[in-house]
Amino acid sequence: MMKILVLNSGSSSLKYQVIDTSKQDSLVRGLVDRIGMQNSLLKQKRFDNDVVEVSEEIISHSVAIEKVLDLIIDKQHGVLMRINEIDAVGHRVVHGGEKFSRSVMINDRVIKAIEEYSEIAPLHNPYNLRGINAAIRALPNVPQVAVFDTAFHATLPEEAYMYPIPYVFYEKYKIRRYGFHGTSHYYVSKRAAEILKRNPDDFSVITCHLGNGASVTAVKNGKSIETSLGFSTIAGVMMGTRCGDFDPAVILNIMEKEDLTIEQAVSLLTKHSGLLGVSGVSSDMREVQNAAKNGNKKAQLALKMFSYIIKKFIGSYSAVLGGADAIVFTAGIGENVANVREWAVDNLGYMGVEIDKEKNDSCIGKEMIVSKDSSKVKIIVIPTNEELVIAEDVVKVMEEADE
Amino acid sequence: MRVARVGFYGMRNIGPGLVQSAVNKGLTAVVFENNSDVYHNGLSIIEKNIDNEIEHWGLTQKDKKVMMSRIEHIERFSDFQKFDIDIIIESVEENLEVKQSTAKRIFDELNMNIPVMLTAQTNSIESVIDGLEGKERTVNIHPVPSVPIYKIVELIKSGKTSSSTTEIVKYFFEKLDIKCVEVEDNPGMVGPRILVAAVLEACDMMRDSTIRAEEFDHIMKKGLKMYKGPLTMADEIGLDNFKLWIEELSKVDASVYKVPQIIIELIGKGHTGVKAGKGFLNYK
Repeated sequence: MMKILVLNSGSSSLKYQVIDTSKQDSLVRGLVDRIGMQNSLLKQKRFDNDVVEVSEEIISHSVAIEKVLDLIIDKQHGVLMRINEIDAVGHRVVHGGEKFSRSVMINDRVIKAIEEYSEIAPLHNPYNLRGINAAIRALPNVPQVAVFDTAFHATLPEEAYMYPIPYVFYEKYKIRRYGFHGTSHYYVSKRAAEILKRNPDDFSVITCHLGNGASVTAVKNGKSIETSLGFSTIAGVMMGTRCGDFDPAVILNIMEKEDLTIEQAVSLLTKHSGLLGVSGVSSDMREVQNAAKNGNKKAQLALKMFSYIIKKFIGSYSAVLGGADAIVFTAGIGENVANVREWAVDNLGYMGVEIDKEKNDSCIGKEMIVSKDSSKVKIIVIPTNEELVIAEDVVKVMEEADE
Repeated sequence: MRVARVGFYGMRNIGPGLVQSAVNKGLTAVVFENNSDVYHNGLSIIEKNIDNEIEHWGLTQKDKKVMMSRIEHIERFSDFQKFDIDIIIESVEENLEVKQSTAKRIFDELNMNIPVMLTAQTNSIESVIDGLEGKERTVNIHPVPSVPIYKIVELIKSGKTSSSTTEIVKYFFEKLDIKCVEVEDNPGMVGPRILVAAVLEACDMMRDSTIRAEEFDHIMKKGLKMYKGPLTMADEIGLDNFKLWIEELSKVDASVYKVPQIIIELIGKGHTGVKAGKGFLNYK
């Protein structure tokens, strides 16, 4: 039995969970928000629904970790008696580039490599590193493991990860498709095989991780062979505020016409596009749906586009896989929004995909097969659990280190 | 090391731009400015800059709301202590005597051992802090391009600036995603001096030929690949501020630096740049 502290460190936030790997369950989870600002907030929820909120200034990730550790062993709200009950720390690291195809024990060499990849993941890796450094300072004698978002996609074949631009850019700058949300795609693809009682080594599945960020992955025999996010996290399907794939000439044209800087163009594609950009209402699927119900034409269009684009990816990834055994929906929208699921597989009967409307409509945030019994391709809703994957990977890395 | 709250002594000159940069990166800006018109004018420059960024997709309305909420206005100098600021930036008008008296007040009255950043665009750091205590915690800075989105900042140390001060100042700019470039202590540093030279040349050309401000900036932007035209930058800095830069530089070399008639006339008409809706160019 091991207790793993899982950390997901963002620019001004720190998400955490303590996972008991013997029960595969979370003992406590929490979020420190607005780090470095005046009104920082630490919110923690224990397995028994005990909730505690602390509002005070938390000036850095180091202070945030200290506060979190204090709360984890708090007599009233904590789950551990002593901090040395934590066996290891698992860190979510967004970009592991080509160097890391699996989780690794963190050492100076690993830290240096994560630093190097900050150049191609400037919005994520530097902040992941802040969490790592802070955790090392706070728990110097506890093993620290890095679990990379990109690692699951290390198995992409060359023809899938290379872009059709001059090869020299790959050689000079390592510009290629990396893919993200790897821990989520790994977890739900593995879980789908378990649910369907299939041999994971003989199983093809298309996994749709649809949250505020979204991606679709083709998984064959347990390996990612194609994925929609690419060099950056704005490629692929339409997202809450991110554009997904479109003609690259368009942004160059807009930059020229509107005299935009690179920063403004990046902001246009990452903060003003997607559901928000098309609907003009919100990046939140629930608000877009409400607006669509009330007759807002742009919201209706945004909804149609969102599902249509997912359908295009499902179709093309089915071709890549040579036919899929299952389609999985996960993350906020994938787990909770029935009509997006319905529209995303609409008219795919020719592929053997038949959704059961009644089952699908009744499925909100729970694990469930929502296809008809007769459907050749099973449609499954699986709540994702990235933290559990991270914790399990930490155990794996530690066991290997012991050997 | 903590840099979460930044004190601003004054809201003139490049103050609004620096306040905007700080709040854009999640820091709190504590602004001491007794002149209500100057303070609100500074706020309105920040709002215009943010609106311009929103119009050009660089920020969102939500960003604006959050950023503006991070600006605290204080009317008593002693309130800097109440806000427990981590660094103080002087942003008064570009005039040697005013800069000197401001630096003196900060050293004498602000009982906080924190770095002091001067923003003397056209005066040397040594001339501002000559004879004052606190040289070891003082630097002079100039962000480039001038407003509103900075890419780099010119950093000038005094002969006695401590390594701790430099380290904290660099950390502050790192938080703002602005690169520090150390330059020698010369009046005008690099950016302001080259900008002033370009604007003076433009004014001479506009006086001697039919070239218009828009055409000059267009050539500089498209031809010389400048991020913004020099006249647009001067308008953003404010022609009244820009006039002070030239006047201060004229104390170094009056044969080179002379306020052009066109700038005097524009200021006379109230056309002080972006904040007035009109300067060399029209912003309405």
